[in-house]
Amino acid sequence: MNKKIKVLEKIARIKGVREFLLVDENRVIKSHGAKDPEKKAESLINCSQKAGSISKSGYQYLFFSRENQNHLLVFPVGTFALGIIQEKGVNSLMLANQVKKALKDIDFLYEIKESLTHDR
Amino acid sequence: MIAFCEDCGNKNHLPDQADGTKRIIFRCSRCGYPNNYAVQDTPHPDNTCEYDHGHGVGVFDLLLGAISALPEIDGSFVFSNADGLIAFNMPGLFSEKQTKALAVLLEQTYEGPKQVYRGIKDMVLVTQNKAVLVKSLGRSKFLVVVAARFPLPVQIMEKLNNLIASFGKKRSKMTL
Repeated sequence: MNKKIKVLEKIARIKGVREFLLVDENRVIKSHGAKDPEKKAESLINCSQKAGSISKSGYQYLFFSRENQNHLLVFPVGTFALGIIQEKGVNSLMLANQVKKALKDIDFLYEIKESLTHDR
Repeated sequence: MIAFCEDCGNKNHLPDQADGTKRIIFRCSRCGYPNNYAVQDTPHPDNTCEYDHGHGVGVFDLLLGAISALPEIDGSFVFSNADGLIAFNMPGLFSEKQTKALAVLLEQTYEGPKQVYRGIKDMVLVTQNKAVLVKSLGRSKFLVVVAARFPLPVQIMEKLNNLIASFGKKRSKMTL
């Protein structure tokens, strides 16, 4: 199985993840269920970079509450940003912890790089 | 001395306490709430200020004072897109200059996703040892609360939300 699919499927399988978007400065690396991913990508990477510059040790995640209860979570993944829209009614904190764990459990950056190499 | 009610934010005038007093216990003169909380050290004058940008001096005093007195809360401030830093109460945490820099970065972090994700209300930035809550106070003003951890205990979060809600009601009445 392609490594990229393996990594991102792990996150997509987390209960409560409605959509996700992995972006870097130049492009959308991978999106799942997201509408207008290109439009959202720039906003996500910019906000992740700003948040990362607030604390010397970076940030763990950003949580944006939304009126429709599909809250937005943003995680730093090296120089990438991972944006996740959660399902309504899901415990945001538990979801954030699960995503953090998933990001820790895998050598995410390595696998992304590998997958990009395979794609060329 | 002046003490703020944890429940309604009312300013209560109490007899001066003896030096070294660590807790104050009193019943709010307005709502009757039995307050019992630790008193923070007197903030350094450089770390507390209030600006008047046409909003009226002291408008945010009650709110920031009451919020900063809550357990697990390190400080708070209010900023606006147009006027920058309006008021702050960050005892022992950040200087005015640092708070302004933080406000600019938080504003940029908060505003970006609002352009593409509909209905964004509040933001929480979680770092290794702090949590920064950004709450909208209307169209252009934002309340920032720096907490020791996230999530805050339910009781503290409820008190914080009540303070903000009651402040919003007061502001609405003033506007009307």
